[in-house]
Amino acid sequence: MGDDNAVTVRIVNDILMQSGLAVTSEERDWLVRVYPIQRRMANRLRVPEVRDIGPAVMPSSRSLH
Amino acid sequence: MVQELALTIAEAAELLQARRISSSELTDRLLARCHALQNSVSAFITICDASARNAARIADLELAQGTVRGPLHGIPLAVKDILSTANAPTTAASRAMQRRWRTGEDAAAVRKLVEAGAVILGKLTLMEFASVASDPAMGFPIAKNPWDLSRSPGASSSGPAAAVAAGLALGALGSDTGGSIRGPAAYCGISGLAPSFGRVSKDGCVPLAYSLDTVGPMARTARDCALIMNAIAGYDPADPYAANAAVPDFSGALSGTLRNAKVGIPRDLFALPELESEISRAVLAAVDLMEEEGATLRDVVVPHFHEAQAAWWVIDLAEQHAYHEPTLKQHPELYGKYVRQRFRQGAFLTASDYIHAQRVRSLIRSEWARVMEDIDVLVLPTMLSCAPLLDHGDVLTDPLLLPSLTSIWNLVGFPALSVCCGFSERRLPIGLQIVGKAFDEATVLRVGEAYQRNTDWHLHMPPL
Repeated sequence: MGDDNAVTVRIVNDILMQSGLAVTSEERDWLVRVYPIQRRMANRLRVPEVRDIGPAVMPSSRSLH
Repeated sequence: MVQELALTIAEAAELLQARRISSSELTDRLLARCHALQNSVSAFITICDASARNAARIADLELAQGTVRGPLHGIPLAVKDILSTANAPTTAASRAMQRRWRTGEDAAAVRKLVEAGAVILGKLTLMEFASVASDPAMGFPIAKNPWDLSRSPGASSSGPAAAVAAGLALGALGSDTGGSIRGPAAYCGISGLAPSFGRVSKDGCVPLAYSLDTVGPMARTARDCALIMNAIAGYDPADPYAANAAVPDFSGALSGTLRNAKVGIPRDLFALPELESEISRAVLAAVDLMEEEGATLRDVVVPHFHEAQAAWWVIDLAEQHAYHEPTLKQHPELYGKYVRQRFRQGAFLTASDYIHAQRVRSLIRSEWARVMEDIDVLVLPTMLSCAPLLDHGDVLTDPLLLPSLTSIWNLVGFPALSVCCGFSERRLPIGLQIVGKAFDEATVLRVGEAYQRNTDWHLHMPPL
């Protein structure tokens, strides 16, 4: 658990540095806490049914409907 | 006085056209009430006294000359301060908003209301940039729920919902990216429609998430929402997302009956452990009433519900991060503490996450289109609970953990209406959601209006 958290802290710090976002320590702690939740959410999208769906573009009203 | 406050747009239009009340009288009374309740309900960012009185005077002159622009002629309305208006600055309830953004220009939807003769009373408050919450330290008004001033009117069209419920305006324009019209409508006991994606122009509306945002009406009744839709719906080449789809007569399609309406019931969603039993009971009672009035009920299976939640989250977070990224890097202090963190979250998503989300969106959209082939509308709760206290829970983390019954319809682009279907033991309104096929707002509004003909929940006024 401790190792996992250390990895998450490192990932969050890296992303913040790469993206040029300045945060307070309290804000960083929250981002570290929710990062695993966000990853779980994003990983739900890896469903086999979408393998053949494409191209994936931001839909306009024309392509959405 | 009380009678005017409880007026619907349809009733006020009759009185105005019969010259039994003038637009100036109505506008003056509502402006006085807006000022009187600003300290308690805090619905407005800007109250436009002078321009509203001038518009009302012109409306009266035209009516006196026999010119009737339509049912919105002389009707006092207000708009969420995320839409530009010629008569006031647009703040989006944020210090990070560009100063002088579209100064002097009406957003397309506002322009259409003005052309229809409506009187714009002012700009209504919202959660910062139409997101999850506003930071009180940033100095913008935080609206209160007129049913209980210690409670939230919902996010993010808080001002529009509070204003309509409190009788400060006869209707309003809101915006909805994941439930921002329907949630506040449910919490405040009014009607609110998130139209099909592309149905109403977003030109002049500050974006939150480009591919999810909609602009729509909020009013006391579904009929009033239809009257506003008649004015604001339609193609606009200035909005790249606008759909060039035929626009029906929404109010003309209100048949007043539920007979032969095929209503789908997503039973799985009524079984969500997070859904409060009071809400479930009230919505199921409404479904029973619809059946008694001639609707045919069909159970439907909800496809990929959890994946839909995830796809909406990823798209929402990624698109709002893209819009706010430059300011977020250079001047994070301009954002309130909640929105600053929310908008940062998109930086933790990958390009692949976003593409997967859009692919899942395509899949779910086609699955829902198939489900809707056998039904006219879907009926389900709008929110999981009644209005929460203003300082409740963790406004940033809770939305990540709780399911949403509204965001899925933004994901697939279907129209969804919330109407009041009862009150909790604490005397807080409960919302029922009616979802239709893409571009079939007419049926959604027809079912909502027919339901309201058989109930009086929408006529209740808060104890202000």
